Amino acid sequence: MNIENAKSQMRKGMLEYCVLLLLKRRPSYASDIIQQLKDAELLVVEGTLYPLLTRLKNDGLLSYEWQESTQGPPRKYYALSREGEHFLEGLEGAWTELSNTITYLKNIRPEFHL
Amino acid sequence: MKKNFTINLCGRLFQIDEDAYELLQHYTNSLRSHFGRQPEGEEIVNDIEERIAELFDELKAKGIQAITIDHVKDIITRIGKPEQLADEDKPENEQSEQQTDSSAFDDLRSAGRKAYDSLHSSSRKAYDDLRNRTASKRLFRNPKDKIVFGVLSGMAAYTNTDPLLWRLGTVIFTFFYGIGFIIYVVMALILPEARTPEQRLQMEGKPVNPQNLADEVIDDKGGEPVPNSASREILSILLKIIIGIFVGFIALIGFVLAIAFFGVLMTVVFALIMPAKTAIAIPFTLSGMGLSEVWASYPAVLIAFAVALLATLFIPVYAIVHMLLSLSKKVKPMSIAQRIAWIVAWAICLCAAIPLGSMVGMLHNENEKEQWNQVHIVEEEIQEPLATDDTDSLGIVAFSDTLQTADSTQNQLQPQ
Repeated sequence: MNIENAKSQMRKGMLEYCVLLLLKRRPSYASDIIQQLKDAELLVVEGTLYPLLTRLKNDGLLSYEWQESTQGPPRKYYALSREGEHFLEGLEGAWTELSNTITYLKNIRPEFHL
Repeated sequence: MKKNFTINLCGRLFQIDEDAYELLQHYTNSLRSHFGRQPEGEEIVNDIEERIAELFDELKAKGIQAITIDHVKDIITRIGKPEQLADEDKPENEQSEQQTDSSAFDDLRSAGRKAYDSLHSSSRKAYDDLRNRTASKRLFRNPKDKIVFGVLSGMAAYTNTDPLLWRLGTVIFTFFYGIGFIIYVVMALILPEARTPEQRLQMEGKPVNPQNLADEVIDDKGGEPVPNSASREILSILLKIIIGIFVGFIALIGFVLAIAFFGVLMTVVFALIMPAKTAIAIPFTLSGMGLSEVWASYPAVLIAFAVALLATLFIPVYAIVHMLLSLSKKVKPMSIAQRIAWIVAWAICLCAAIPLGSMVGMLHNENEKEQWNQVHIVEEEIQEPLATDDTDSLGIVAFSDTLQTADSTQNQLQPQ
């Protein structure tokens, strides 16, 4: 288990949450999401997003519609569905807990060491 | 300078180099086979293709006319190799699949081990060694390092050994009744050449992934083999000279044989398509060839000979036609099993045709002798009416003509 592998596992776990967060702000199409995730330095290989989007869509968390674009063919715009919003709320709670745990573990003092 | 294609990717047209196209095609194919197991696989791949088209569009906007292999490589590293793209749900499935795979493989191996337990441990070790070396490799003719057909360097790549040893061995074994040569020819006929970069990777036992493929495609253009030491160099030059002389010799014999083969083939084709009972067809009819007697007494031998002869002649013709068609990509090249089957069939037909042919010849001669004797008896009885010159010339006539001459003599004689 090298560091890169561990990192990518962490990112993978977070990716779903991040994508949902992004789509909550505004509906976007895949390349748009890729750009934002890259700006946030979350995505290493772009291809990971596509299976995720398709799965979320098939699970009913996302909906999509084709929209004409100014350049090129129409694009698939993804948006959060009602179900997706509930799902995101659940994740948000979990994230806060996780974040608290990490902060707690990081700040714990080595009191009992002799 | 490179060949260039125009491709239609998601409704948009792009100019792309040939090698870049091959790499891209392989990439999308491997994505398809990777995601194909999921019901939504097609959709995912289409989305990714859409993305590729978009990235190509960006290149176009930058003023790049033709997409090169480097662009495709960049895009592949950007989007990721198929094995990097697994969704979170999937890895477990894949692992369990791999586990079943490996357990099946273990079963197989342990079964193999048991079978080999009876053998000496040294030979078992050699077997395992070979197994390890040849794992995930496929046997091809190696076009990158060849003297004649690349069979031996293909064998060397398969067993991960030195091609020089194989070449030396084959040359030495050729001096033992030509065994080396015969095996070489058979292998050359059976083994396909590693034409595509994908096959070359399989030949070398490297995993077929976009990275290796791209390296292979680029390496294709100009990769020099490893430098040799002086003694190796001398040995390989010597070998090349010996092989060169030998190949020249074989080519000469082959040329003569090919002409003979073509002649026989043409004769047979001619005989088959000639309309019966015309003047020109007479030499090709049974009586014309002097075989009517043989046909009357031993039809089975004649039929068997005809079948064996025709098969011996037309199997190579079929093989050549098939090869030409597969070169122009009209049909699939034969699989190794098919090739072996045809070669065995051809060898059987050849081995059957030769004794059957001599048998037919023998029967033919026997008939002639009988008739010859008959004619002589008749001649002796009625020597006076015939001029002595005629008898002499009758005695000199070649075997094949004897029958006809004898027939005509009989005809002449009968009314008297």
